Amino acid sequence: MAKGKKAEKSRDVLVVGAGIAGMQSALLLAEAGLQVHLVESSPAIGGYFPLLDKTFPTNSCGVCFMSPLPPAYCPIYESELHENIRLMTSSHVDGIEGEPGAFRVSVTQRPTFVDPGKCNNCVSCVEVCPVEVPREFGGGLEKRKAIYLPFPQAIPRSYVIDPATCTRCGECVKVCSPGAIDLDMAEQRHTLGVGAVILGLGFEPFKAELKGEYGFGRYDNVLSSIQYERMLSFSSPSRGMPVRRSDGRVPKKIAFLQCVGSRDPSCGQTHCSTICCMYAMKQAMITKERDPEAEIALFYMDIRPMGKDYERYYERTKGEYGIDFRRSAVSVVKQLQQTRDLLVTYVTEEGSFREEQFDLIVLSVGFTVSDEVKELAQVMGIELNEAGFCRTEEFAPTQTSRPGIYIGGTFREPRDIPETVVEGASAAAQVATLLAADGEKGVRDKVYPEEGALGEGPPRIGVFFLSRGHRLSDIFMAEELINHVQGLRDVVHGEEILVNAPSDGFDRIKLRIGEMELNRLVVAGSSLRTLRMDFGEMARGIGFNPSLIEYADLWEGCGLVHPQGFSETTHKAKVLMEVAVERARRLEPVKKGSSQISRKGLVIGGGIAGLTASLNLARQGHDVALVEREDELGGNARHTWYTLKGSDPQVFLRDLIEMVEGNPKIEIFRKAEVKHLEGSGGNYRTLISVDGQEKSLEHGAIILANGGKEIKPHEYLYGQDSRVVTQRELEGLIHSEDERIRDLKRVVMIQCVGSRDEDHPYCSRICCGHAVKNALKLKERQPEMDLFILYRDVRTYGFYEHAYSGARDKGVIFIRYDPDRKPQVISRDGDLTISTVDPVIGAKVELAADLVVLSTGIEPNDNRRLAEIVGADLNADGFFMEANPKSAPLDFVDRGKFFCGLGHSPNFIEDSIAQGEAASMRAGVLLSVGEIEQVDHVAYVNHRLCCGCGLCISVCPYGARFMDEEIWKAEVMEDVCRGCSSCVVVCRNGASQQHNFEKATVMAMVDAAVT
Amino acid sequence: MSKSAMLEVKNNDPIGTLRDFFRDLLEKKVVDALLIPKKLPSGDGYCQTLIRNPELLVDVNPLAPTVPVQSARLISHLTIMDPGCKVGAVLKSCEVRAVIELVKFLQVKLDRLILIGVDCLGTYEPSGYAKMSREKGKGGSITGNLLKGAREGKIKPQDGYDLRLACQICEYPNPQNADVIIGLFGHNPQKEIYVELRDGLAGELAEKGILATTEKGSSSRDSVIERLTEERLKRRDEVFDAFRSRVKNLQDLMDALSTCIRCHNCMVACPICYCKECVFKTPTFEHKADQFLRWADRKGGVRMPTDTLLFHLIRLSHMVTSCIGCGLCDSACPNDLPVATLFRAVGQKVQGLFDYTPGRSVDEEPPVATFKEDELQGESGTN
Repeated sequence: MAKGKKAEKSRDVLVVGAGIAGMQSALLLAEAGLQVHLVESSPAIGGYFPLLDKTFPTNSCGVCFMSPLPPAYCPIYESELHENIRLMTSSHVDGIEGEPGAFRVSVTQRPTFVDPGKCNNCVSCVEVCPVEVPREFGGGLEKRKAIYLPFPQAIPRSYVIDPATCTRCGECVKVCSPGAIDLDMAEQRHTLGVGAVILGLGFEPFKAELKGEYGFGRYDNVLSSIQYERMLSFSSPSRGMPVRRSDGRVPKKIAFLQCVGSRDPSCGQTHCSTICCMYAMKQAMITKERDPEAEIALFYMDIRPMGKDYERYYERTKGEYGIDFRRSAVSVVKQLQQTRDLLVTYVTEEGSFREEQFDLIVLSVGFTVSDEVKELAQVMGIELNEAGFCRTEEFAPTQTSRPGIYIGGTFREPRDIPETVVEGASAAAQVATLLAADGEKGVRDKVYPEEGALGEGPPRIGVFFLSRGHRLSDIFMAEELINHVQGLRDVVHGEEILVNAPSDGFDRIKLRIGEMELNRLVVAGSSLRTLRMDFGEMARGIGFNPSLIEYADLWEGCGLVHPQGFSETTHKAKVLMEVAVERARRLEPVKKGSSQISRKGLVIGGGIAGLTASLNLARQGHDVALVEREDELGGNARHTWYTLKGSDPQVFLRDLIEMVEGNPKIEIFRKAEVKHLEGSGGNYRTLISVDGQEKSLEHGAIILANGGKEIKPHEYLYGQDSRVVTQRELEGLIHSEDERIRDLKRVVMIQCVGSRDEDHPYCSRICCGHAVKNALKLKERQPEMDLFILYRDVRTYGFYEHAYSGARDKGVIFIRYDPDRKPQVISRDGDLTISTVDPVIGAKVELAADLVVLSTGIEPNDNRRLAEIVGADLNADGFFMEANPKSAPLDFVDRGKFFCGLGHSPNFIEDSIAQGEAASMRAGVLLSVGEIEQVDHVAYVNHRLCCGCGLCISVCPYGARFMDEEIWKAEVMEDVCRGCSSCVVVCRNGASQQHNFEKATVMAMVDAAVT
Repeated sequence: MSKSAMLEVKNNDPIGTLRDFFRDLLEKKVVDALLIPKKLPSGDGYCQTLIRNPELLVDVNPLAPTVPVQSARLISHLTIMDPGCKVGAVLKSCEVRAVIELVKFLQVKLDRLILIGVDCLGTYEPSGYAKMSREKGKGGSITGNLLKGAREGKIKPQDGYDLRLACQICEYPNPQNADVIIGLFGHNPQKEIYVELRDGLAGELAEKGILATTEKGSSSRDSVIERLTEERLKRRDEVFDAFRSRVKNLQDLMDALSTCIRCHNCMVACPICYCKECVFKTPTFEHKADQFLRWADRKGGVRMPTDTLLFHLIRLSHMVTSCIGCGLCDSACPNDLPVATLFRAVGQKVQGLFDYTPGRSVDEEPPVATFKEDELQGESGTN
């Protein structure tokens, strides 16, 4: 890197790593109008996302996320398509200098030897390539060639050559018809000026070979969970069936071994990897669905389903799916020579050795940080923690040790997809805040010419065949096809246009539109959505309404998949063109409406999450109204005195409140609550009452952060004996140095009080950490004290595991109990005794105690009224329900409504901060857009036909349909409608229709297809 | 909870006794208007009549064994907008069930509606009834003859005439979900008629001196209904089996519907087809000549009228989950197509898939309006 010259100020952003966190950050910043450089070291973006066949806890298909068609949420396609994102794959950062707001970064892009602009994804090169090596995707179960597609949905959609294995024989060059391969391609160096950097660097699966006793790499039928995930995918060679590598047989007995490379000092991996319990349960469930006969055992220490709704998932795995959970330690796996079956030796909880034979073993491997990432950290000048992950402050979860560089996702700590998405958004919020201070928003308002009266006369259709890399005649009988199309009704022109990039053909098409007075177009080419965007833009640029263009896919949907001869392929192409022309004949110009956005955010709740959201939204440049029910800000954090990771929440809270109160963009309403809300995303009007006075607010987004509370226990003599307290009360006692805890000899803590039971069938997530935290504090004061923690599973996930092992080292004794044999707290002659059954010795234990501490769970505040007022959904436990648990964890279905904090699920302070920041970013993006453009295929109602049956209202996922009570006809809120077509499907007589997808149009298309 | 009473029959005239009961309801303002079958001036049939003047009740017959029109549609007109007064409607079991379905599609509002359900002995086709009454000269005895079987639940139609097929296979002889139930089964209708009232109404009727009720039900009625239902189910399954062995594939279905003339009578008669204007009558299905010619071109020829199969399939897909089996489509069909049997046989399977029984309860959401992530996994092949 050229030293010396000072880096210039920039509002561009560098995002390194295009996994889930990186894509989330990049998309949000791009939406907010910033230019993003998305740098990924592998040849395709997506990280581990494309590997997932199904995702917990819904077991919905992961492929749906990947679908290029709306309304799927696909961050991978969005990242490719967003005009503000510049994708750089096969690239790495090798230098950075400068300071926040003005960094200069050098990036090296390795050659892939294939030009993605030319590669048309035919497989000729693969067929001739003589080199075969294990395929990285899916852990090496399959083979690939030296030239290969990284995985089926790879973006960029191009084959690449791996120079490490390529022999440069040149066979592929000979067969590549578009001439996309260049074996002399050189590496490129780029220097980028950016204002901030986000690291979405992700994880590396633990190398299971390092646990030699399990035989991975030596025994065919021992798989890593990465390999098994791949095997369960429908696109795997076994089409989703689990099979043994030794003989291809479907395994009947399968064992999952947990904590391989997690919670294990013997291999230097002391942390808990957090998600392995969940993914193992998911894999076990899917296995059962694929083969109901399979017998599955899962060997584990503690089951840790640590996310929202995950406890229910665990219960389903045990109950409905009959997976055999065995709390035990596996000491060794041996392969039987003849059968290649596997003999597992394990120690049960009671301490006896057992042996059992299995057909297949899956090792649930943990999360580590790769050497490559560690090197990059050094280049970036950021500090790592003792586990090799990125060091961050507890209350600034996305801030690295170097200002201006932020992180999100699993490089901070092992976590699941929702939390990764939250942190990706949270890191984006930090960047938006940093760069917003520097000036205006980066949104470039585009001005298009006025549209003519096109489309109103009788159809005059022009058909353009776009050829890219290959000629139409390479695949079809071109002349016959063009002649056929020219003979179709209302077609006045047909032509093949050779293009290298879609824009090449624009001038020609523009010319033809004028010459031939075309008023509708059919563009035939590949299915790429980029093509549609480019064309839509081109059309708007000359005042041609883009809804008058129909697209036909003659490549992926025809030429590529039917290479077996001209005549059939040409026949299908003709039919596809007839379908497209039939639709084009009926297309009508749609004038899209738009609505201005009210650039103000409303935040409900002044706890940590709400304060954080308010502050960040204000710092991004938006006005904020903060509504707090009480007279004082701070919420639950006011009663938290210290954290497990050692920070002081009171100092943090004081600073946060000071900053919120001092920010001129934030208006605070104390003793206030929401009375009424109306409007839709971008434009709400809310009535609040402030200390009895009503006030109306106009705003574009709303963030619900109205928290939760400690569950009040009604067992274990709580409230009857003053020596029985909750963890939160104990924390207060320790903080105030109360005399009740001065001379304690023996303390017993009981976990899961009001959690994982019938009333609260979820895990409250923080109580294990809370107990360990208070236990360590007590031990610190009086090391000789006896301290027992009675637990069901110890759920100290991530780095909290270190505190758990620390507590055990300090002599805290953990005793497990079964929920059907709960501990008893007995007060006898003034003495407190706790009686419980210790499963290790299989006998009753009686413990005398000076103090009993109940680890009570968290429940949401009663949100039913608020949910009704703002039109939000609650889940069965009373927490807010998200639009999508994976990809939109803080969004309601309704655009413009968000939530964070304990109203989402039980969370630690650091998670609430991340959620508050993330919610502010998601809301901020909406507010920064300025105006919302309607989709061009919104629904509309034919009043004559509407019977007012209300079905459209009950099925609309966006709340865009309502009944006009005076005339009893259903109506559409066009600003809210997303054109999903649910109402159209459910409407019996076609009273609800969508523009340009009218029933008659669709029927004509179907009719043209059925010949 | 509901309350019941036995209404004492005067002069061995159950119909006259019921007339007096309804006169009381109207005169004492339990209802402000009454929809009830009234004899036609021609004397050879009955039709629903909306009565406000009690004097006009002279020749009403709440037990008339004929359903010329499904009353649920009439009630939709009366209640979709607030009628402004209380309307009582005397309905057969299938009509009450259709009303319950229409409530779910917002076509009927229950707020000002009092549903009066009568035990149904079965019905004749209106044409059959007219012929019978001309032969006998007096319609009253046709009802009287059927009533003889009420006590034992052994209903014999008039010699030479059959009850409608839908009635023969109807598994709901007694109405459910009605505010007032007029019960005939299990008792001698010459002597007594069982009346069941919803709680609030029981109080009002007692207060106004119309009828005093207790909490006792009628066990003899219950056991007759149980036996009758069992017989009907058996008959129903025979009819379904016969139909299914006849219609096994698409071609069989096309054959079964081959004489359909696209008159849309089945749709007009159907109480569930609530659309003001069927999509099949809209321009969507108004093809131009060149469209027909292209179809003819494609295969050399095309059967006219077109879209016949599509019409029946789409009607099936729209309302088969709500089909309550009144069979009025059969009565309306000029060419005797097995429309009702088709709908009921398919309905049995589809309703079973969603564990949905049309007419069972207004709180049961119709499958089309609900989404469950885990439903139909077997059917959709996702599992």
